[in-house]
Amino acid sequence: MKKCKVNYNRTDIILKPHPLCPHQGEPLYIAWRGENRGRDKNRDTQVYSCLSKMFRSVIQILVIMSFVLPRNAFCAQLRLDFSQDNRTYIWNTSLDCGREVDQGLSWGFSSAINSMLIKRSVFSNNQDRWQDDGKINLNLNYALTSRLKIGALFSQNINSLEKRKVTSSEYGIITEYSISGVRLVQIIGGKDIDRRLKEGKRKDSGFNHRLEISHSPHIFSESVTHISLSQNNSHLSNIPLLERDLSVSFSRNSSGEDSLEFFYLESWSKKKFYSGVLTDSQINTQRKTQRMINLRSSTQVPFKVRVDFDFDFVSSRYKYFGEQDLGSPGLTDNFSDSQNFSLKIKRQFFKRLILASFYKYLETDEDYTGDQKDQKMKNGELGGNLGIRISEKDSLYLTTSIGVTSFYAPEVSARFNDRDILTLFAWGEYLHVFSPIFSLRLEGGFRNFHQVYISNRLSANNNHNQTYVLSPTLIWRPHPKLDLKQNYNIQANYIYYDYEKSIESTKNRLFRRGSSNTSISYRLFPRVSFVFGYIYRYEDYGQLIWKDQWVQKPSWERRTHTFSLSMQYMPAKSWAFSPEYIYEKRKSWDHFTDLVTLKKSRALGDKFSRNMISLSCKYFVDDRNYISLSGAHRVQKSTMGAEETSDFATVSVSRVF
Amino acid sequence: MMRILPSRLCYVSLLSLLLLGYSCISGCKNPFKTRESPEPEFSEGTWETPALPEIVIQNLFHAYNEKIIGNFSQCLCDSFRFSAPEDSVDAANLGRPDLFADWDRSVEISVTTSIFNTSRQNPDSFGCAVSFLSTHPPDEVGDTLAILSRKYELLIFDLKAVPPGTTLARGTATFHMRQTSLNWWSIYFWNDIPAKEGEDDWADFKAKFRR
Repeated sequence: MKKCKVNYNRTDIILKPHPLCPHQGEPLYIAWRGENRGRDKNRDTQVYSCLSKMFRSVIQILVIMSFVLPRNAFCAQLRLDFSQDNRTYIWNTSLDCGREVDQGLSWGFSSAINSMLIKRSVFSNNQDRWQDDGKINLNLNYALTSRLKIGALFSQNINSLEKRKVTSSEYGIITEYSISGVRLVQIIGGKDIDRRLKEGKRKDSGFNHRLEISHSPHIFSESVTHISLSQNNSHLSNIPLLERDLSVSFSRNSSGEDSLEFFYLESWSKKKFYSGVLTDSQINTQRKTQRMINLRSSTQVPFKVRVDFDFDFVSSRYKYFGEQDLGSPGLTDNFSDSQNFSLKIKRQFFKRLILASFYKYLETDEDYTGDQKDQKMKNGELGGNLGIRISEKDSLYLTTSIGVTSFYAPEVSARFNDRDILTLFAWGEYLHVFSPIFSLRLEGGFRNFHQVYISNRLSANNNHNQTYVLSPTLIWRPHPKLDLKQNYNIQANYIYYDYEKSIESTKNRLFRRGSSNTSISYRLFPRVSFVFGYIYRYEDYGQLIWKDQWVQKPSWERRTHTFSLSMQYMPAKSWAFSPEYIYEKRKSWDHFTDLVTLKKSRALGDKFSRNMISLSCKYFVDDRNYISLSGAHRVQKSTMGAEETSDFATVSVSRVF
Repeated sequence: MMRILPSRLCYVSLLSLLLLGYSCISGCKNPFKTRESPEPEFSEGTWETPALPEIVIQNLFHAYNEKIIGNFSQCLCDSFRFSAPEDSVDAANLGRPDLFADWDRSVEISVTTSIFNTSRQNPDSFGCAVSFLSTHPPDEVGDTLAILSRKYELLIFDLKAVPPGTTLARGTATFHMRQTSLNWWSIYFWNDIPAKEGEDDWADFKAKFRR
């Protein structure tokens, strides 16, 4: 029975900020870009041409492979994304594939390349600015016996920006041996790091050895225990690296109700790194020790109460040694500890009411060995929530919490920044279904944020920041083809300073906002629907004056009208087109008070308008197989500035073979 | 009689638990009470309600120059991330790819607290002042999202450094902001690029205060 494995977890590759990229046998578009770097002529055409060439090449290879090879022996996932936002172009491509060639012999390949171009960037003196990150991994495995596997691996990473480029390559022979539940993996090979800068280059290379011993003993029933010990040793010429990790994990799930998870990690590393300019740098050593403990437990106690308890502890120690005393603040020895726990209690009553309560505590301590930068922080939060189905037509959800965060400086001279922050939060939602076609959702909330400085140097900044929100929404479906939705939102934000409440302070402020959002959706045919939307928003902002009660003295007000019209058209089951037009108009007025006559007046400050037209098109088979294209053209005009025109485009391709 | 006994036991246990909890709470001090604060002797601090994205930039400017960490932290979202692509490549070049990695709100607050504390405690030997230039690319302000780019100059003097001296870091900071129903405008992504390739920028300065 032949099996093939595909890594479907795309987020690992797509979301990594600096993934590594292929260099060996440079991919088509990187080679193309290298030849044309610095030329502005026909750049747009070249960029799109490059994308289409790359896309076509990869698709052709995959299509051929998927047809030539037996279907169950080859798996691959391709993902291509392109977006353009004015002068910023972003390409993200990734490909994972693997195949079991023969009994025991298999190979795997994965690559991810991310590129960004900012054309005529204002950040780079109007020069085009390229940034590439990517990686490529290739591995070959062969099972000699049921216990012994051998293989080879190669990986290459690239990280480049303008004329800076770091390329690192790793290659080696891998052996994996399993006996009596103990798994031993060893990689012996080499590592090269090639660093290039405008002023010069430097290369580090050396022997690389990695050893991992792991064991999963069966200690208790319904439990999994895993013990792992690993060592990574890179004997690079100037900056060697030695890492050791020990981890123990245990998880137990009894009768699907109670669960216990425990994780312990002890990690130690010693690495050398350059400081200063690469071509004339000194070498420093960093020793790092880290300890981590995680505990998660969930159990049901008497009275059908569920109790969840989580605990996390992380301790890190960094020590630096230099060729000479650098005295730089970044190279100060430092220790940090952080621990947090949370206790949650939950109980369900009569299958209608869910009552839950929680307490969270967090403490961090940063110690720079007696330095004035030492900091401590403690945070405690108590809260609860309630969900109740009052009747078949009414349901209510309430949540509230109170918390205090305190910051301390152990050094007396640094205590001017000591402060407490009190946070109060409450939120409620009520849903009433009048009939299957008509319902009301009422949401409302409050948040108070009170900042208190302990020293008299900064206590003038002690303030309350309060927000109140009320938002009802009506949903009505008078006809199976027609949906109406009306939402209102009222919001008020008060900020007042503790020691300036009695005086007419200009620091006390009030911001108010009211908006209505109307949406009409009409399904003309089963595959054609139209959505019309209108948003009206009023905002004002001004001084808050205490005269037995808070009174507002407005500074400005703003009124915004937004109209939108869109269509969804599906000419076939797998095709969707969505054109949309949005028009926004905003006027802002400044308020004045005549100091002699006390007469209030207002003057138009700014008039803004925005027109945007967009079109999106999607061909889809399922969530993992689709092609989507979208583009938008936007023109906006303001009396405060010149007319601006912007274009946006995105292309996404996802395919699982 | 036997049937209602467990139910009574439940009520008695619950009542005992409540009484025990109340006596514990009443005997202790209020854990959610903030510390006492003295009357201000100085009127330091400039902060305005961030009702517009531009005001966040002004608050950041004042907080950085007045060295008030509370006002600075109110400019940042909980999901804040800091990125310095050019400096990240440089750090990778020098063998420290972790220097700019995972730079979230807690790292930003920790780093900035260190900068402010060092500056406030050594006003004669260490200090920094930021200024934003008036010329900048057009602001992108939407309904709940905004992108504002600002060219800046950061003047740093460190007389205890080896060698002691004054540095002018210049670059462009791009602030991505969002507004939620219960929050003001705040920064969720801060991207920093030096004015010229290889020159000192804000990120270089901040990185010196990271562990």
